[in-house]
This record gives sequence, structure tokens and C-alpha cells, in this order.
Amino acid sequence: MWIGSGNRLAVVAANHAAEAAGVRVGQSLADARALCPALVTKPADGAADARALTRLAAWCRRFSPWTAAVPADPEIPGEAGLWLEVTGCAHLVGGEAALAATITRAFARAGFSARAGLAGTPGAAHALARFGAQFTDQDHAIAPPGGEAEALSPLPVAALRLGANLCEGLDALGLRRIGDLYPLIRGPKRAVLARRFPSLLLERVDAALGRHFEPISPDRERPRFATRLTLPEPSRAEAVIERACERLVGELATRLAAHGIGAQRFVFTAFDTVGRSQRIVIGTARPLAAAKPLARLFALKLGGIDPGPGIDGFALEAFETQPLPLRQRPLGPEADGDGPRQDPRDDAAALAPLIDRLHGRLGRKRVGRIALHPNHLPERAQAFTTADAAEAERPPAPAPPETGPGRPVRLFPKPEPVDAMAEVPDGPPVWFRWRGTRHRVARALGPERIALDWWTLPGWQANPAAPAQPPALGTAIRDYYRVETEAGTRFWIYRAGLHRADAPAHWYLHGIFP
Amino acid sequence: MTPSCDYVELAVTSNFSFLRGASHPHELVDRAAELGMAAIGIADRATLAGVVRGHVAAKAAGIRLLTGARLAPEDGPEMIVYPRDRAAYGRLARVLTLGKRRAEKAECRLDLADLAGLGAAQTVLLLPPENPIDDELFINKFNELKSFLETEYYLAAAPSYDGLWPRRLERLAGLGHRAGLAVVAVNDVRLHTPERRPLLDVLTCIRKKIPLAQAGYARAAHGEHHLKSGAEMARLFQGFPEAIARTAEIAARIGFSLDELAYEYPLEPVRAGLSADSTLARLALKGAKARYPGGVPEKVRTALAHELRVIRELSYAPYFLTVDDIVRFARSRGILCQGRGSAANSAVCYCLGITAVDPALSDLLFERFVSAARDEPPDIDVDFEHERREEVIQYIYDKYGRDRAGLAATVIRYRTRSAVREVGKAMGLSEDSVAALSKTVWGRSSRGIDAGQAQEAGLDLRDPTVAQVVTLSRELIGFPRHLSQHVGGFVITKGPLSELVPIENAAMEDRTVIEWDKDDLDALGILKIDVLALGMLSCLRRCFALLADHYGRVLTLATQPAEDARVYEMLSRGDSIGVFQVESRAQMSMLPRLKPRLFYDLVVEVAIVRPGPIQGDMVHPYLRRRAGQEPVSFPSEELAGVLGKTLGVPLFQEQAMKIAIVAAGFSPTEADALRRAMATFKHTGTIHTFREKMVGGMVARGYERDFAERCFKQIEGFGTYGFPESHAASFALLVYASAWFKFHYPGVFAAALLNSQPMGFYAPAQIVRDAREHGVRIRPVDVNASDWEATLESDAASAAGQALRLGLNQVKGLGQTDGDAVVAARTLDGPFYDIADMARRSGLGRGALARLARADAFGTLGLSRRDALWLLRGLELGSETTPLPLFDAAGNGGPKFDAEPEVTLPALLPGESVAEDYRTLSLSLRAHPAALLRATLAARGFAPCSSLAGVTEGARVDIAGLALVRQRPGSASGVIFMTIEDENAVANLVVWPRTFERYRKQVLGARLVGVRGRVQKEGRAPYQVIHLVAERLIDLSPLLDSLDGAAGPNHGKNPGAVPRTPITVPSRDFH
Repeated sequence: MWIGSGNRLAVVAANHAAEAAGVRVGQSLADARALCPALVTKPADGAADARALTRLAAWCRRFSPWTAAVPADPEIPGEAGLWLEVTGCAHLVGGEAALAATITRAFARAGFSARAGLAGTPGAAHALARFGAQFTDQDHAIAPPGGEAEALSPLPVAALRLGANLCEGLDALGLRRIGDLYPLIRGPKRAVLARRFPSLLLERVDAALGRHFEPISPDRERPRFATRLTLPEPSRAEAVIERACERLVGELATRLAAHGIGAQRFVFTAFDTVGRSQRIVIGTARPLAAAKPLARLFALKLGGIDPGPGIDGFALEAFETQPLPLRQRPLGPEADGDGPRQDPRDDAAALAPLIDRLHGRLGRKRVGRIALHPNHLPERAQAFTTADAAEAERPPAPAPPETGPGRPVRLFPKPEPVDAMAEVPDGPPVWFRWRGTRHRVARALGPERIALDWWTLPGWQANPAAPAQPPALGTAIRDYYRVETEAGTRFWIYRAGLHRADAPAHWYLHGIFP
Repeated sequence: MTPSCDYVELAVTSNFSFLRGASHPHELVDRAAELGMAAIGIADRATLAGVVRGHVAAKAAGIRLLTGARLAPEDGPEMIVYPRDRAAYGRLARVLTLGKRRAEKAECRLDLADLAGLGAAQTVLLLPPENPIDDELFINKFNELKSFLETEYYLAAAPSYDGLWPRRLERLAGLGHRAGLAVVAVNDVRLHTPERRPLLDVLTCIRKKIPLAQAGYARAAHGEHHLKSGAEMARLFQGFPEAIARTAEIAARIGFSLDELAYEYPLEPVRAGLSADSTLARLALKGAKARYPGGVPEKVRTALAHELRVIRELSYAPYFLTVDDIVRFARSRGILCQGRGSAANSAVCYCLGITAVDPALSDLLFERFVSAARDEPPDIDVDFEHERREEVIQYIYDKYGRDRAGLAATVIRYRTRSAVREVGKAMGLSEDSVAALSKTVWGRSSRGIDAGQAQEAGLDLRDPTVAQVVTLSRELIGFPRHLSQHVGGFVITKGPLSELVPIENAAMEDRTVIEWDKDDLDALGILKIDVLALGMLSCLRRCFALLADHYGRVLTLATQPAEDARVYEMLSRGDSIGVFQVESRAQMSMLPRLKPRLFYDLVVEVAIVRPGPIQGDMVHPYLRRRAGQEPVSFPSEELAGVLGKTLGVPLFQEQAMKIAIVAAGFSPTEADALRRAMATFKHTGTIHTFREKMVGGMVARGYERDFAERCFKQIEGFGTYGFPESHAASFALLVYASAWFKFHYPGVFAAALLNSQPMGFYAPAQIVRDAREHGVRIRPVDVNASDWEATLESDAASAAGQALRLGLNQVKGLGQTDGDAVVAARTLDGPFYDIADMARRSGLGRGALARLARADAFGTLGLSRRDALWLLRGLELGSETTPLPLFDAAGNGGPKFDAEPEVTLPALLPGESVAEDYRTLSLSLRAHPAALLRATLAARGFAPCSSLAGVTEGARVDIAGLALVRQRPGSASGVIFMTIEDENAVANLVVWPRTFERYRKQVLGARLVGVRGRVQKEGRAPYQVIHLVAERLIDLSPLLDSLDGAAGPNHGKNPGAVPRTPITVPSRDFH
């Protein structure tokens, strides 16, 4: 896994196989690849890591009710981890060592390698988890009650989460192990040390040794946005289902709006009397909190619910929540939406609900849009992409320069071969045969010469033994003509390659003008 | 194709329009000739930088080059301007200079009104607007231009290939009609063949700083703007035959050729009533009397008379007087200088004090320098102390003015590394892949990378992009990238320089640069004076000063005792670290074989380790003859005169030339043309004819083919790196001068070398080590003893009576302002008595103080590194930028930490101390890192480097050491010479290309390297040369880092371990 920082791509995590090949965290990606050409690399996703860590923290509540994730810190390598407050938990599994072993075993079963540190202070536990294992053969290190000072003494000062600068400063003075600091933290020398280093140093030492209390906060549960409705008696009426949905949507929307939160996924569940539940899932392109559009989206799908013997309960939950972006509304007469729209984002904003509705009807992957793509080759001058709201907000690609005779509205996905007779070397066709019909050309404009994208041509090859050979480029062109047949139809037709005396030219029809 | 046609391409953009043209001028010219054009007009964007290349190529190809430029005034249409005569050319150059001087470097800013300066006799091709909407504006602007610039105008029409060309042509014809402009056909050429299209696209991407994938419509839709035949152009201009015919007419009427640039020497101040010639004669004779107090020898007298006559005939006297004036200025300021190159063939130059090779003692070849037969200007190169050359340059500007003096340009071209980097970026490789690729490139290679290197850089060879990067970067190599200033080639003219060639601002302030480089000037016969910088002269000046200060001996280069046998004896042992020119690996191993005994041997020594003699395979025959293992014989009686001094083996450039003349029947002019053909314009492809002529000629006259081939090869080698005898002699003087100091005053020599860094092959660590081996005591950097530079201190215990004190300049990252502040404070009020006192009085910031502490510079205050850092942290200083507040009243100065309880910090381990020494001073006086690692190295099977002396030839040995020097001489077909060092000895590795390919990373990257190899020996001790031919290399650098104790067994696994700066070994790489 790698991240890009500045111009450098650096390895941030490597598996055992990669480490065996010499790949190290912090290495540049290119160095790593040079060491191990077969390396499989992926960009790291810090946000996903953080989410996974939070999930693990929640999962750890089976060991302790009080758990928290320590997010990664770019300043302090190896900072990411989990806190478990295990006071009063250890005896349940037979002591601290057994607890630590249980935890690491559980992680191993889940496919994680984990090291545990257990101590009377968070600082000491943090240090032991990250640096303690190198002094034991086990995957956990435990400081006995009151034994923090002794346990920490051989660990490097970096175990105190000090940041690179502070560590370097200590290193230059030979203060490398936490134990090296002990003579300087008591008595008159404490002041001497305090003058020379930021207060963080003494705070961290004191906290680790239990000389002052350092609280850890368990992860707060996110507010859940869910509403329920139980009917006094089961109903099979469509109108009941619709009204129930409307009411739940209204309640949820009010709550979301009160928190300034929008959601992108809504799940409506209907419970029937025989214990079945049916779900309708709505996804939106941008965070939504308003009742009206939401209700409209659900209305499209409520018909899909089979009331069966009767439905007596409903639930509506919102997922993928995030704060709603605040937008300045335009002042003046345009505010009502009749005036000209100045901000292109307004167009995008108007498009988003449409995309949502189409998604709702057709499915996410079935909604697409054509985007301009700057390329001289006609078939590459646009690209088909699936539409999402973000797409709509992107600035449009530059349009082709306004030279040349213009391009047909209808472009064939694949140019169709035609037989043609033309004046050499680069005259327009006099007649051509397309789909069995012969057309005589009355008027023609051209040629417009477009070269093929040379980097996509076959023939480029890299071979360690021989120098690379470029393909022949002089003839990798097309000459386009806009022709009008005697019947009055206008076609876009091209000759592939330059005229050659020794071989007939290949002609293609690429599009039709209206 | 018909041999001639009526079409001449008049709108050509070469690659001197940087990143806009994709072909070299010579490629365009050759292609035009191939297409049967009688002429070609190359007009680059606001520059004449490429015209000389085009001109030379056109002459060779037998067509005419129309010299012009493309101008883009900010408020008017673009146009191509061709001057029709010399005066018009001068005006074009002046207008370009005007636009360039007022713009940023490499830019040109012109308004339409500025073009009034072009005057008459210009042929102007106006480029029409793209869009018809602008036609009216175009006509207005043209009328405006016409009102103040009366000359010939045309409208240039270039096919658009966009499907609308016939309509466009109609429109342009109409526009021409309305404006009163005749339409002329052009193809707006940027490529010589369509195959350059990918490169043009990549150049566009480089220029716009976008990757190809995003280039979109910035790229051209096609590659049609290549040179096209007259027939093809006629077809494109169907119905407009006059537009085609007009091209040839226009070309025929542009009469100007660069050959017309008659160069005029500046007028030197001559004494009233005296001509330049008689002034020169007077000065020369006066100088001769001073040079030979005992009477001028007859030989010199004759030579002077002869030279003065030739100089008079060719009217070169002003040039000699100019150089004399510059040298006089330097001498008056005490700046050491000495002429080099072929000027040392001249008795006049010697008598004027420009050169130092005594004509009485050597055979001079004045004709090599100045010759009536050869229509080319003399070339005097003078070396000045590198630190003070700027004074000389400013003197020249002051004296002649910027309108008459300018520095020649150096065309900076793409080399492998830059080409790969830019093409890789344009092709969308990630920054790191590009960095990894360029890391595989050795030095300043111009050979391109191959797919193997791409693989090594971790790129996937199946990806066609990799092949494209490899291929296109090779094509880009050799393309001009930008103009830079030549190291010191001055062009000085009588009239305004800007009418000879455009002048632009250099990147350096107070510098202006002309657009032509040295080869261009040579090709046009324009005189220049090379004001060069030579580090050794700075070093020698320091040597003489230190000698006078500390030993009371006042000497100069001229009065140094000559021919000291002990100095030669030292050199014969290969003991030459620091000595000028002969300290390279190759020279060091040559010295014991050549065993110089006399000054002339040094001349040979300097010349023999050069590509010429090596490629010509002349080295071994010479050594065998010198050792008496082979009789001295001459290939023929006629060559005995040529080769007499060098035992029948040609070693010098002139000898090879003379062989061509005497043995192959070349005329002197042809011989010189041959040398030039090799040296300058390599693309002319005439080398084969020369080869045929020379080898054939010699065989026909009865010489052995083998000898003839070798002589030719030698000339090939001389082409680029030739050393004429006179030049070798000038350098040999400095070899002797520096060797003399090294032998007699090693302390003086080492101090002068350290203070003249960077120079030479070796880093301070090796200079210090070498000085110690020569009995010099070295004292550490200390705030209470060191000056900014290294100094000598009296030392009763040492044999020389002086010890060397390292200077504060040795401390990495310490600025001279800070260093000077320390010395000034100490000089003012005496030594510092503690660190607080030092901090207060010197006013240094915390950063500078910490650098000194880490460099262990507080020794005399009784403070170790860590103690000093500890105390520093406790000092109440401002931040690094704010000056130190005065604590108390001065003199009282009670340091604040007096009352603190004492803290004992862990002591540094010996390894840590040495590691810190290397980090902060790049050398250590304590111990060699290899000594500390000896046990580990021995356990891993590595023997000390000194053990090589004791093993037999051919034995396999494992040794290890710090990599000091890596060198790949151009002459050694890819062999790399590597020097490694351990605590007792230096070992020389030979790495063959095949081994290098396998161990590239180790060879290039290892700081501490382990080698297994086979021992090669030559000669007998003490004149023995030992090499180890490497077979396997291991990067032991991690061991070096383990000196710190930081790299314990868990290093690397330990996510929080303090990353330390790796211990760098300052190695130097040459190629």
C-alpha cells in the first residue's frame, strides 16, 4: 500500500511476503518496485483505514465495554491502534496474560496480526503495544502493577509519542531510551530538563509512569437516524403503506434537518405479521434531508411491497450521513428561480434530483452521460460515463477547436467499410458503395487529415535485449471528406492511410450529416 | 525526386525554437537538399541561435541557407524576416537584442513600432490571422507597419489540412489582394519527416507542462508540417502556381550569407603615434628582456621576428594587445593567471607573460596557433584563479561596454537524464518512476536508456509507454534545451556587438550572453578570448601566500626551484593526491609506469592519459620503448622528425596532424579540417571520406595499415579531447608547481587545497588523510582556534614546525557570515571562555551554534558534543533569526545556567563519534569507520585493502571500503574505475561493463562497499600498480549506519525508531 506525498509515492504498509523481498515502510514506491518487480501495489485509503479501525474498536467491545480507536498520525509512525480499558475485565478470562492472549488470538483468527500492551497507564500500554514486543517472544507485553517504569526503561523515547523533532533532539544528546530520562525527571534536575524541552516531554513521561492521569475517551456512538411506526392492527391497504412511509419520512427529515445532517442512503422496511420484512433502498446522488423529494423517491417504489397477510410495522433508517453543505442563496429577483442562473453549480444542483430519479427507476449503472473528451480522433472525442452528481459539477471539457468542416451529429460506433473510387492521391471519392447501395458523389469537401493516436498503435515494444522500435507513423492517418451524394444525403467518409500505388485504398463511412 | 525544383520552403522552425520545432537545423537542411530545394529558410522564434548550424550544414549539403527569424510583436501579426544584405542583418540582430535585453532571460518582447529599426532590405513574410474575423485588423496593422518600415512584404499561406484548405486559400488570396500583398506558399515546417510527430507532441506537452493524456487539442491533429517536395506543394496550391514560383524568386533575391560577417578586432589603445603592430613589437621585446635577463637566446629572437611578421600580415596585433591588457589587469590585482592551449606555442605570448612555456626550451609550432594558410583566428585561452575570475570579467565589461563585449553561449542540450525525466513526465509516468529511471543513468550520459534500465527502475516492459519513453527520450537527446553562458569565452568587437549577433540577458545578474556558442564562432571565424577559471591557480596562490606567511619564503610560479629530483621521485611512486591533473586514478597508475624524471616527462604524462593516445593504442608502445623493452624506431625516415621527441610514438595532437600531412599527403588545411570534423559538427558525415583518404594515403606510401588505422583512431580521439603539446606543457608547469608544494610543504599544500574546495578529485577527508600520511599534524575545528579557512599553527612537535588547523568552513551547513562572526568576535576581545560567552559575543543563532556543537567545535572549552548541545538548549537565546539579546552588561556576562545541577549525559560510543564527525565535517580525525568495523568485516570474510600488496597476481580477494571516487572515462569503453578506502590503504577497482550491469545499484549507490575480485599487478614495488577486477559487489552501507548503535537488530521493524541522517561519504563521480 502506498500514499503519495508531494512528488513522492511512499510505501505505507507491506505484507510479510513483500517484507521478505526487502520492501520497507517508508521506502519510495519506485525503490520497492525495483527490489521486487512482481510487487502488487495499491494506493492506501486513509479514510477507509480509519473506518476499519473504528469498526474494530466496536468489535472489541466483546472484551471490554470501553474501547476507542487511535487514528493514524502522519507525525508519529505506527500511531494507529486500539484502546481497551480492561479494568475489571481480566478476571473474566483468567487474568491479564490470558486476556491479552485471547485478544491477539481473536485478531489472528480474523486475519490481523496484533500486538498487545497492558499496563496501569494508557501511556505505558501504548508504548508496550508498539515497542514492547521486541523484548519478549510473545505478541503481548504486560507491565505488572507499579512496574511501568521498569517496563518502559529499555524502550526508545519514540514510544512516548513525541514526534520526530523532539526525538531527534533527545537522540543528539544520547537520551535514547525512556530510562535515560529517569534521572532527569525528579528533583532539581527536572527543572533543568523542563527548560530544555517542550512541556510535552515531561507530560508524556509522567502520564506513562502514572504520575499524572491521562484520560482516554471511548468512541462516541454516532447519532442514529431511524424512525419506527407500529400499526394498531395489520393492514393490506396500499394507502396505509403510503401514508406510513410519508409520516416516517417527515419525522426523519425533521430530525436530520435539526442536526444539519443529510443522508445518501435510506432504507424503508415493512414488517408483516408472519415475521417477514421487505426493504426498499433509496440512494441519492448528494446528501438529502428534505422530506418532499425523499417521499417522491419512495413513492416510485412502494408499489413493490407485497402486503401479504398484512403489515403491522414500518421502519425508516438513514445511512451514509454527513453534514449538509450550506449554500448561499442568491439575493434579488433571481432568488425565485425565474431569473438567469449565474452559478453553474445551480445547473448541477438541478440535475442531481433528476439523476436520482433516473437512478431510482433504472438502477445506478444504467444512467450514463456523454462527456466531451479532448482528442482529435472523432470516436475518441467523447466518452460515455455513468452519471453521478459529482460528474454534473465537473467543469465541461474543452470543445474541439472550431476549424474544419464540422462533424456529423450521427457518428457510427464502428466506421463501416465502403468500396469507393477516388482520384489519387487525395481526391474525394467519385462514387462509393455502402450497404449494397451505390452512391454518386455530387459535392465534396476535404480532406481533413487526422493522424491516429501514435501511442496506441501496435509496434511499440520494449525488449531488454533490443532497442525499442517505433511503428511506422507517416501513414497512420485518415483523410476525412464531407460528401453529398446526388440523392442529397451527406456522409462523412474517410480513406485510411495515404494513397499507395501498389495497394487499393480502404474507405470507411464514419457518420451521417442531417 | 528531381535534382532541383522551383519550390523553396521559407517558413521553417527548427528545434532552436525551444520545444516548438522537432528537428535539428542540419536534419532540415539535409532533407531540403534531398528534396531538391536550392535553398531553405530557417526562421526560429526571435532568435538566430540555430542559424550557424544550419549555415554549416547547408554549405556541406550544397544548398543555400536563408538566415532569418520569426518575430511576434505584441500588438501585431507574426512575421518571418529575412535580411537581404549585411547591413539589414545587423539591424535584425539589433532589434532582437533590443527585445531580449528588456525581457526576461530567453524571452523577447517587441512592439510593432520597434520594427522600424529593421530598416530597408528586409524580406518580410506576414503570417495571416487564423480567423477571417481578424482580417481587417490585420490589414490595418500591416498598413501601420508599412508606414514606418518600407521594405518587401508577402503574405505567407500555409496549407491547413483541415478539410477547408481550398476555401482558406481563396480567402487568403482575397486578403492578399485587399492588402496589396503577394501570396507565397509555405508549409510552416516543424518536422523534417512525419516520423517526428510523436516527439513534437511530447515537446508540446513539455512546453505546456501537461501529460500527453491530457494534451487534447493542444497537440496538432496531424504531422503534416514536415518538409514537402515542390511537386506536393504545387499540388496543394493548385490554381496558384505563382505562390510556388514566388518562393524561389524570393530566395534568389535574398543575397545575404553568414559568410559575409567580416569580423573586426577591437581597437586597442596604442601609444600615440604608434600602430598596433609596433606597440605589440615593443611590448614583446620589452617582455623578452625581462624573461631572459641574461640575454634573449637567438632561437627566441628569430621566433619573435617570425611571429610578429605573421601577426602583422594577418592584422592580429589588436587581438594580442587585448589579451595582454586583460592579463596585465589581472597581474596588477595579484590574480594568478596562465595561458593554456595552442597559445603556448607562441614566443610572443610567452614574452608578453600570457603563457609560461619557455620557447627556448621547447619546439614551438607557431603555425598550430596562427597560420597564414589557415583562415581562422587565433584562440588564446587564459586560466585565472577560479575565485577571482569574476573581477576579470567585470573589468572587460567595464572597459569595452556591454555593447561591444559579450560572453559566448553554451547550448545546453538534453542529455539522457533530462530527456528521460521530461519525456517520462510527459508520457504520464509517476514522479517516482521517472526519478527511479533517471537514477539508473550514469553521470551526464548522452546515450539514452535501454529497456534493461527501465526494467531495473521497476517499470513494466509489457507497457508500450515504457518503449515510447525509451525511444522518444533517445530522440530528444541532443536537442537544444536552453542557452547558458559559456564558462568564459568573450567576444569583443570594434563596432556594436549587437549588429553581429543578438545579445540576451544571462541568468546571472550583470551578465549578457550572445546567442552563439563556441563552435558557431569558430565556424564563422570570430575571435574570442577564453577567460577561464582554474581552481588549481587559486590553490597555488594560497600556497605561495601561506609559504610567505609561515615560512618567510617568497616565491612565484616563475621562481619556484625547478627540476627537483625528489619531487619527481614522489610522483613516480604514484603519490599524487591533490596534484594538478595527475591525481586521477588513470594518471596515478600511469605515473609509476612512466616514472617521470624531467619536466618533459610531465608533459608526456599529462598528454598520454587522454582518449587520443589510448584509442590510438599508443600508450603501451611508448611505455615499452621508454622502459627499453623495445627499440625506438620510426615508421619512416620522414616521420623521424615528427616523432623524435616521443620515441617514435605519436602522443600529441600536432603529431597526429603532422602524420596526416607528412605521411598521408594532406595539406595543413585539410589536416585541420579533419580535426575539426571530428571535434565540432559531428553530423556532417564526412569522416568516412577523411578516413579513406588518410589510411589509404598512408598505405599507398608504404606504411603498415595497422599503424595507419591507429593514427586515424588517435585523431578521432583527439577530436574532442585533444591535448596539443603546448597545452600539455602549460598544464605540466602546474603539475610540477603543485607537486613541489606537496613534497616540500605538505601542510601548506593541504591547507591551500582545503580552502580551494571544491576542486580536484578528492574530498577533504582524503586530502586530510593524505596530509597525515605525509607527516602533517591535523588539529580539529574549534571555535577558539579555527579561522573560516584552514590555517597553519606553529607546532613544535611536528617535523615541519607547523600543524594544520581545520577551518570553520569544514562545518556542514555553517554560513560564512556566521563563521566570520565567530572569528571577528574572538579577534576583537580574545578567546571565548565558555559557551554562553561565545554565543553572546558572536551573536550566532541557535541553529548555527547547534551546528558548531554537533561538529564538536567546543573542544577547547572542555565541552563534548553532547555537553555543548545540552548547555545550548539551556541558553536563553532568541529564535534562530533574532539576534541574541544581551544578557547583562557586557563584561559581566554571567551565564544563566551557572546554578544548574550538573547532568551527566551518556557518553558517545567511539562509533557514534566517528559517525557524527562524518555527518557534520565529512571527515573524522578520530578513526576511520572501517577501523571500527574491522572485526565485523573480518567476520564476514573481508580482508583489509592493504592485503592486496601481499597476494599474488590472479588471486581472488574479498575487501571492503568506503567508496571515494567512481569514474567512467570516455576512452575506456564503459569500464568503471572505482577507488575505495579503508583505515590503512586505498584500493583501486576495475568494474567491467558486464559486472556493472549486474551490480549497477551497488556500484552507484553503496557508500561502504564489499568486493570480491581478482588481483592484477603491474610493475614492481614501489612503482607497482595494483588493481582489483571486481566480480561481485555488496552494498555494506547498513554496516556504516550501524556505527551509531542506532541500527540495532530491530531497526526497521521498529516503527518509531528515530530515523537518522545516513552517514554520507563524500564520494566524487566523474565520467
